[in-house]
Amino acid sequence: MLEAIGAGFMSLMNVQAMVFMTIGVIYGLVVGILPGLGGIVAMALLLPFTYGYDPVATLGLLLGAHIATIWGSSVTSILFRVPGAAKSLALIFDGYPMTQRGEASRALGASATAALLGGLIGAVFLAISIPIVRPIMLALGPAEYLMMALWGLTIIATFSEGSLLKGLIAAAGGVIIAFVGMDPVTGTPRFWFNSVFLLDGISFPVAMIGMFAVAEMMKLYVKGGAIVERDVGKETSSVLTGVKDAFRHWWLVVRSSLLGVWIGVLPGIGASIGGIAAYAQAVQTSRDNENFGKGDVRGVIAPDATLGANEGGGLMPTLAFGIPGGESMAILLIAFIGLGIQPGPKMLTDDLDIVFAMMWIIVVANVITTVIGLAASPYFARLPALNPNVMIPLVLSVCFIGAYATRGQIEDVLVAAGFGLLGYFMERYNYSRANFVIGMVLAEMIERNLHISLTLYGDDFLIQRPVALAMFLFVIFTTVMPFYRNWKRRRAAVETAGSEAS
Amino acid sequence: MISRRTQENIVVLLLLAFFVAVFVTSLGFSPRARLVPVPISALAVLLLLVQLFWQNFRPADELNVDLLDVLTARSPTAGVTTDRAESKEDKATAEEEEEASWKRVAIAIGFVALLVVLTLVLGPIPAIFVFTFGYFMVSGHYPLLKAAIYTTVFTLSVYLLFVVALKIQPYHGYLEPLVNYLRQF
Repeated sequence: MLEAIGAGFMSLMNVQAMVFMTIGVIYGLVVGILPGLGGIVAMALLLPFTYGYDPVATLGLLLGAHIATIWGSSVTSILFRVPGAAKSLALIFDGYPMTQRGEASRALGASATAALLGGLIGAVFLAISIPIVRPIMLALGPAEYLMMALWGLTIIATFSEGSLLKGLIAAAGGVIIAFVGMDPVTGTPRFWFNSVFLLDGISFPVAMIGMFAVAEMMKLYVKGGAIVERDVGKETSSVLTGVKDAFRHWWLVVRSSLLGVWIGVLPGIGASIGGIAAYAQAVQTSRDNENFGKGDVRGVIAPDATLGANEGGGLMPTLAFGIPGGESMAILLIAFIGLGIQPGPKMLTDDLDIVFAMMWIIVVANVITTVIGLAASPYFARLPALNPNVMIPLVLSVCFIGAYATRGQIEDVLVAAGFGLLGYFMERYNYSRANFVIGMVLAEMIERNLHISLTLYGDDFLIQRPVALAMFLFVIFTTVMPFYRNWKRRRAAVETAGSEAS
Repeated sequence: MISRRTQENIVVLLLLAFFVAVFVTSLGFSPRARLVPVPISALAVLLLLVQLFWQNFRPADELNVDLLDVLTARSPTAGVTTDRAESKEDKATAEEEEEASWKRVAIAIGFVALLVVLTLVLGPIPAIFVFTFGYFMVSGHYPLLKAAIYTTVFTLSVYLLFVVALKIQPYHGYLEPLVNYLRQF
């Protein structure tokens, strides 16, 4: 294991990997601090560049960009009250009041330091969890993997915002889209309508570019007006005060980081609700909590530590089970497919050095992000707003050439536009795009493991594999439970209203 | 202007048509190849029918799951949403906003379609130049000269990144004969 940790570190310590990671971090910071673009858009636009290079360098580019966008989106929440991504929503509660008070630099300093400490705790968790998870992984068979993938598919719907049914429908849509093209198991062409282009299947990176980047630009145009409107006081604080704040509240950082790891490990939940949960936890566990919502630095530290730690936690199910922890991890899985890396037991045995290289990428990318972030924070605090009239044509242009560049097929431009429209309307009518993407990624895992299970154990494979049966019952339980809780909650509310009326 | 509920119903019906088509098409595959598509599409049809019933005959938020409630196990009464009575003026403003929003949606779809057509006809690089310059001019964000300079710099950067650095074989669309002719020199 120690050998793999060392090999992972050494594979990162080459010029190409370090240059790629640094480019990724700078790109991620730039994209992250542009309100209206988020980490998912950033990663989707990078996918065409992930072919033909060293896997560690490519992963450095993607993960570096992703980590930097997380902090970048915190910057927009703090400075502009516009979360760059849903996960940074909690940062506006106290971050923006600090900016209005003239303490933007302090908030950014605390935010960057908390994210770094959280990221380091997440990376340590990943390193510790691998030797524990590995024997479990090797003991599981295809039937258990099938159940795990089904659980991943249903749990993401359970945790999607809005209607649970819409979440499940979106996931089913993603699964079906993944079946377009040649079935690798039976060699049957499916949903190809006699088109040679469709026989190759829908390119996942192109679909991501459309679903997130093109759709976001459409959303930005429809929303109209300026992206941000600022009303802030004169800057009076320093970045160093914020750094000290993060260390002064070290126990809050540790608590929030562990929460981030836990949320990351739960497949499908991702970081979207992590920030809010961290904020709620900070308010609930602080004795003097009357300043929360008015510019309390702890309201910045807690969500950022959680978001930082979330990556290490999120990588665990992604690498070990092939079940993405969230939409960003789903995009990472798509990159794995392009690089020929197979997550699961093989990854934890044959490609262990790549796993640990990713752990080191989290560590180094967090350090680079923090160093650049802290150095640039005073300048960020004076950032002007960017006009959508500039952003929309530039990003759309990059989307379409990126879609073409993925496979060099001009039809992919049509696919990106089609998925852009689909993504926009899914967003408008609250059908989760994240669920759709995760459905696409898990489809192959579900189908492959179902075929292998039927071949190995026969039609009654669930009865022959008691662990798989128990997991199946667990899948049903976790799908039905939210409905039951909702029903119970409503009944209690009606009873309370009835007793108050009488 | 059609109501939100009608819009939601149209979306469900479109999805229903899609999944029924998937189900019927899948029945034509070999038993192994339809092993997953058939149950998934059937399940989706079932879920859509329940969604259609629910959004028309029951309060839609009964299907919603409160993430914080699930994670933090808040008290059962917390977070229960109540319907807010809307005044006639509120309703009129919302309808006007909805109508304006649809116009903007149509324009957004229009410029995405325009960029697709330009890309297919001219190839990605010339399309980027025409689209970006046109967008700057129509939006009135930059004056002519600034728009031309920024567009040229941007198009050149994209060309250098994709065609020179990444060696992506460019597609020239209907300009292919012209490009071939110019290659002779």
